[in-house]
Order: sequence, then structure tokens, then C-alpha cells
Amino acid sequence: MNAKLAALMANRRARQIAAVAVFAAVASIPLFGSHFTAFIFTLGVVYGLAAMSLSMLTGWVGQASLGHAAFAGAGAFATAKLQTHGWPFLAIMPVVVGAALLFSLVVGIPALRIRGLQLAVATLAFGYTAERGVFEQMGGGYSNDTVLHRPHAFGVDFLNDKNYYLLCLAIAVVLTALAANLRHRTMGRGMMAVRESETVFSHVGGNVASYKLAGFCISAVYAAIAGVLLGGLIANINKDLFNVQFGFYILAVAIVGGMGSLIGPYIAGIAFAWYPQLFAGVTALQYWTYMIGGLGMVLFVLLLPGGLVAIPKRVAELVHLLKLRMAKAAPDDEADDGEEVEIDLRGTILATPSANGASPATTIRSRAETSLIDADTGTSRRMRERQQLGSGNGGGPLLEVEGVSIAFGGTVALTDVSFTVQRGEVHGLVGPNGAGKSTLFNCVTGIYRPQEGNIFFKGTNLIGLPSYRRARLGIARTFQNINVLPNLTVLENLMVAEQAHWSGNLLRDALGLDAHHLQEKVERAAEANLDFLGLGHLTNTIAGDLSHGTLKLVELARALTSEPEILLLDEPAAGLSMQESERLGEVLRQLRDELHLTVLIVEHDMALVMGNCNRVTVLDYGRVIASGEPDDVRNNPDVIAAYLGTTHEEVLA
Amino acid sequence: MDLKLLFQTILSGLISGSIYGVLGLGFVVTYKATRVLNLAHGGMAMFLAFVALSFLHRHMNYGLAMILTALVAIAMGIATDWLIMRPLRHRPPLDAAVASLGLLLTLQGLAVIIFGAQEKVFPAAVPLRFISVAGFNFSYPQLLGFGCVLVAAVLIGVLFKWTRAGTAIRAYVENPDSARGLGVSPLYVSTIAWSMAALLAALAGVMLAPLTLLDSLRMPLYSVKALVAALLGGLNSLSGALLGGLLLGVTEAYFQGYVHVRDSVNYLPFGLVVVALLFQGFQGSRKMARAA
Repeated sequence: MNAKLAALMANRRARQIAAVAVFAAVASIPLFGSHFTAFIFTLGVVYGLAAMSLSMLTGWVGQASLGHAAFAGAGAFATAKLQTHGWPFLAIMPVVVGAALLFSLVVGIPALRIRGLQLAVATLAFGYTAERGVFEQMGGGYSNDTVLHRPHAFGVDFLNDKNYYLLCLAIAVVLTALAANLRHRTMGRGMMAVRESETVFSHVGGNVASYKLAGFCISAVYAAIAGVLLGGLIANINKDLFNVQFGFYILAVAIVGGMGSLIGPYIAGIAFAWYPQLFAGVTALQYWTYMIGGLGMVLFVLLLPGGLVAIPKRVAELVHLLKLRMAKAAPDDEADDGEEVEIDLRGTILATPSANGASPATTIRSRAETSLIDADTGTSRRMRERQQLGSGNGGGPLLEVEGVSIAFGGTVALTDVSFTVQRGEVHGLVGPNGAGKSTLFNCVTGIYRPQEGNIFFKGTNLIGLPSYRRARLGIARTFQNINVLPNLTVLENLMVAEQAHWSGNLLRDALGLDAHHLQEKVERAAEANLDFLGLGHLTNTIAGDLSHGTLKLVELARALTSEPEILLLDEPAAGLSMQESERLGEVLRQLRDELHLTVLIVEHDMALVMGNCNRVTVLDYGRVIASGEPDDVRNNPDVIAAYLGTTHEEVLA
Repeated sequence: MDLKLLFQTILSGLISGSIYGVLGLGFVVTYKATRVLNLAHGGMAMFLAFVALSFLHRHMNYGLAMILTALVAIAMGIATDWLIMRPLRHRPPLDAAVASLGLLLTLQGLAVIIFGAQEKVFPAAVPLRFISVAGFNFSYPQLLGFGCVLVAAVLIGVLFKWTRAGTAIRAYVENPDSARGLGVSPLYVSTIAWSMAALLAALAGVMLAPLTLLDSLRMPLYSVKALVAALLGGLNSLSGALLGGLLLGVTEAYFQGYVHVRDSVNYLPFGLVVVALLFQGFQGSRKMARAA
């Protein structure tokens, strides 16, 4: 195993070295070529940088912009104008960044409050207005071009195209490295979580709107810098250089390169910069450039999903397919494929908790030790409070639901619902389908806002607070319909829960200056939670590949990783087998007795509810019809009549 | 303020606005039914206007030329759907948007190759004569334009509300999975939607072409106005897109006639979008509060 790992690491190292060598070789081509080659490569790098800004926006936060040309243009025109007033290049750059931030806030704040393609349309309108209004007034048509002068710095003559190429390359490399760095940090992980599921993100304490806006602002700044570099390359800038079509063009570069990729856009950028040269000098073919380019784009999108960077993956898929074909021909070779199936089976709840044979109790203890107890960050407060208060009943009210009513149109979902969850108890919420149980959960976590009533958590009224604020107060939940981030690994899914604790600084995070201790602690807590739930071996598996039952546990592990005080479980046993739900009951008791967690559970599995809950509240048609200890509730005539009548035997069992 | 001048301004605004509305309508039809942001919509209008022009240049009767153009439009819609959009059905929505971008470039290139790079004059369907009602002048082309938009809007309304195809599309838009379960084919829905969008593009193209010069590079930019019209109507509403187009047209005309700030009219699309988004946001949160 160790040898295998070492080989893997060596392999990775070798690949990194190879990648750097290839990069150096390709990047140095223009230095040995003509000035024109340098020009084309610079153009490619600049296109690549602009496209990378879109690649980040779409690949990370899942938003699309059709007006990034306007940000590029804003950067270029601002630079040119300030240069005429004698500003030195380096002094202008902060202004460019500031302008891009300002514009992106103006566009982003209204557009990003709503889900959907609003940003795409708003940016398109912004691009149109910038081109026809602002740039036209600033730089006019062909007759009075504005000139953007390349910088004079460090005694280097950047009028030399090769030197300018190196400058652009260096800037692009630095910006790309910053972006790559960001991706593996809280900020980047948060952005990707927003792309995958806004609901999940807000329920672990992430502020969706601000993450989307941050992604858009960063992207706009990158585009503005690309615009300055493009302006310096072309020198004479006018509105047509940064028109709406240019915005479309860089979107196409980004798609061809591969959305979400940081390297792909550069490859595509150089290809796009080179493409018109194929037709250069052949006047008859001049008009075919558009059409062939357009057809090429359509074909590319049709035939190569994921863009250029996905080619190795596509090839690997193809090879795999061929291998499968061959394997069918020779059935003896199938031993290798068996492993994958086995992994999936081991992911179920029945699996032994951890690989090293530790009992649930020891893993839970190690979990408690590695959890986020940290005097410096203050994140320990919740945990300590919980431990001081101890387990069992009588810890005082934690969650108080008071007179909550809500109606959807004419349908009344909840009427005057009141009940209290005591600190340290496992509280069951039962009732027939449509009784309003999930609606109540949604009121508690902030998806719905009740028309009447209040919900108090630790004495704070939750009404009006957004979901992420409630999560940060210490409320975590799982969903009835599984809600994981399918394209991320299991560990990454859990790491998103760091949002509940993170109050970091974007700039420090991007530069890698932020202390790693929180991230490491969350990671350790996440791993301990996975071990605790018997998922330790699935840490790096892509969540989307796992089975239903396993994903329910991944959700539970994620909720635990946000270190909540109360855990809301929405039908955790649905779809689990009898043994699996017995094991779930054991987990519930451990959560209460050893982690001192308060749990509110919605469940139809009566054996699980009656066997593990301290108290039970019964909802029927949106009203509370009974509340009390399991024995009292099960003998309550109203409950038997309204809900349990037909399944009486099941309750007594 | 001169009342007659104001009236003429509003009228001309309504004319261009109804064209934006028709363009927006075509955009919303495909967006609603297939979730594709069709950036080629203005390009389709441009290309189909060129097609109509080439029929007219063959000294064809105007009506016949329009019918043939409509057939070409339907063929174009079906081809777009079958060759490009269907294979991309299960891919991220942006892929289809970029494919439509490729289609836009292809159409622009084709138009230049087939019809030449020069701007073309597009003849009006009816001569520029005026009739006067209570002192207000209406021109024949204006009246015909309004008539066409009205007929198109009513036809689409009828199609969506009262035909089987319309019901199928509405059901599919509401809930694709259950509509599929009830036997609505998503392929059928998308073919209908794309042919309808192409027809609307053709209508907008031949209405727009006589007012401006027909130009392969400039006309596709009307996509921007179509999208703004659609967004003003909430991106998802057919009548909303039409009304959004009228609003955009009238505001534009007002700015051109009465606001003497250079290029002020070009700031309108974005200004209106911001206002619409803020308003939508408020509406959205109110709706959320009501629904919740």
C-alpha cells in the first residue's frame, strides 16, 4: 500500500515536472520566432486571461456573463485617459481595479439577487451600453482613436513585442496562480458549493449572494486587467475593440478551453488568436472566416463537451470503453473491475465504522477531541456550552416554536403550531404525509417565512434571519430529498461546513496568508465524522457516484461538521433497511449521549422514533395534536384516530 | 409640449417597440420551452430578412415571398433544433448558448458570402402614405406593422391556450418530468418551439429591415434589445416580452425626441434592466413571503 502511494506521488511529481517543462517550451516559442509570432502569442495570452475570468465565473459560481468586454474596455479606456493626464502606468492599475470592482457591483448587486440567467442578460445590456454610450464618447470611432501606451518600467523597453509578451505572460501566470490558490481555499470551495447547490450552501452558514458577487467582482477585475494588456498590445483603442461581439468571443474562448479550467482558456486563446491567420492574404476566403469559425464552434461544442482540457478525460473514457469491449471478448480479465463495486457496497451504513477497527465509542471520542474546540477562534463556545449542560432532559428550552402559521395560496400548511425542543433531547416530529413536518423544518431553517408566529433559538427570534445566519447560530439540517454537491468529493462536501465558522478575509485567503488552522481543524473534524459514520474509506470519492443510503449519511456527516447545537433530520431512515435504521438509532443515541447534541427528527419509521426519542410531537393537517413522551403519545386516542389507527400494530411492535 | 409631436413620438416608439417585442417573444419561446439562451435570435432575423429580400429581388409577389420566407424559417428552426439543440439537451445550459453563438457567426458569414457585404435597402410592403384620424397621422407601414404584430400575438396566444401542442408545451414547461410521464415528448416540444421562434425571427426581420438598412453585422445586435424586452417581462412570460418590447420602444423614442443628451438612448437598455431587476427582486421577495 505504501509503495503504491509512493509510486503515485512520484508519478504526480513527474507529471508536474512534465507540465512545467511543456509550459516553458510552449511559452518560449515566441522568443525564438518573429515579432509577429510574439504578437500572436501575446494576443492569445490576453484572450486567455479574459476567457479565464469567465471560466472562473461560470465554472466556480455557476454564473454567465455576456458583457465582460465592457470590463476589459473600462480598464483600457481608463488607462488611456489617465495616461493623457500624465499618470504613470503603475499608479493607474489600482484605479483600473477599483473601476472594475465598482462596475461589477453596479451590475452584480441587482442581477445576482435573483436565481437564473439574469446576470447574463444584465451584463449583455451593460456591454451594449458601455460600447454605444461610454466608449463611444471616450474613444470615438475610427477617426479619433485613443492611444494606450505600454508601461516603461524596470528599464525594460516594452515597445519591443517580445518584451511585452513576457510582461503579459508574467502577469497572466501570477493572476492564474492566485486563482488556482483561491480555488483550494475556503473562498474557492465556497464558490464551487454555490454552483452545486445554493440551498446546501446557505444551510451550512454560507452567504450565497456575497459569494456570487465576490466571484463576479474577481472575474471583472481579471477582465479589466486583460483589457489593459490588450489595449497596450493594439495601442490604438476604440469602441469596436471592446464591443458586444468581443464579449461573445471571449465566452467562446472560455467554452472551447473548458469552463472552470485555468489552463484551457490559454490554449484556446492562442488557437483563437492564430485562427484568422489561416485566412490571411487570401482575399477570396476573407468572408469564410466567420462562417468556418462559427461552424467550428458549433461542432466543437457538440463533439467535445468540457472543452480542450477535457480531451484527456474523453480519451480515457474511450480507452476504457474499448477495454470493456475487449474484456467482454475475454471474460477472465474482469477481476480488476470488481473492486469498484465492492467500494460502493462498503459505503452503506452497515459497514464497520473505521478501517482500524475502532469501536464507535472510540471514534466518537477522537472526533470530539479533533473537533473545533479552539480558544482563539471562539468556535468552541457551542461545544463547551453543550458539554457543560450535559445530556438528558431538562437542559432548558433550545428551540421554541410559538404559534407558527403558514399558508400557500389558499392551502393552509401549518396552523398555530407550538412546541419546545429541550436542550440535549432527541425530539421526534411525526405525522401523516402532508401534515406539515417538512414545512416546519423549512420555517426553522429559513427557506419559508411563516405569516404568523415566532421561532426562538437560544432565545433569539429567527424570523427574518437568512438561512446562513441561522446556520451560523448552530442549526444544521439534512434534507428529505438528498441535497449533496454531486461533482465534489465527499470530503469537499463536508468541508463546505467550514462556512459555519469562517469569517475570513478574501484577500488574505487568496494570497494564502490566512492561518490554516481552521481549515485543518475542519478537515480533521470532517474526517472524524466520516469515520464515525463508517464512511472513512470514501473521503475522496465523488459524491455523485454514491448510493442513496450512503448519501444520506454524507449529509448527516456534513451537518455534524458544521458543529451545530441542534440537528434537524428530515426522514433520515427513508429508504434504509431494517438493520440500517437500527444502526441509525444507535447513531442518534450517540449523538445525544456522547456529543450532547439536540436532535429534532422527522421520521415515519415508528420503531426508530418511539425507541429513541425523549419526546414526540405529532402534527396532523398542520396542527399539533399531541406532544409528550413516546408512551403517552402512542396511547393518545387522538393520535391513534388521526394517524396511527391503521398502523397500530406497528406502533406497539 | 406639442401634443401632436408627443403622439408621433409615442407612435414611432410603439412601432419599434412592437418589433423588439416580437424579437423578445421569439427569444422567450425557446427559453421557456428548452431553457436555451438563444444568442443567434437576432442573427436568424437578419438571415431570414436577407432570404425574403432575395425572393423580392426575383420580382416575386410580396405575399408569396413572405410565405416562402416563413417556410424557410420553419426549416431553419427545425434544422437548428435537430442538428444543434437536441444533441445538447443534457448538457450545461451554457453549452447551448455558445453553440447558438457559433450559429450566429455562421449565419453572419453565410449572409456575407451569399448576399454580399454591403448594406441593402429593403422595400416596404406598402407605400408610405398617411391617413389622418382626428388630426393624427398614421402611415400605412405603421398600420400594417401593428396588424402583423397583433395577428402574431393572437395566434401565439391561441396556439398556447387552446391547441394540443400548446397545452403540451405549457405542461412541459411547468413540470418536464410529469409531462414526459403523461406522454409529452420533449423532442416534440423543442421542435415546435424552435420553429415558432424562427418564424417570429422572420417576422421581426422583415419588419425591421425596411426601417433600417439590412446589414449582416448590425442587425444581430437587436438580440440585445430582444433580451432586454424579455427581461423586462420577467424572462418567462410571452405577454411580458411583448409589453417589455413596447416599453423599451416608447422610452427609446421619448429619449430620442426629448432628452438632448448625446447617446443617452444607448444608456437605456442597461438602465431599464437595472430597474427591472430591482423591481423583480422586490416582487420576488414579496412573492416568496406570500408563498412561504
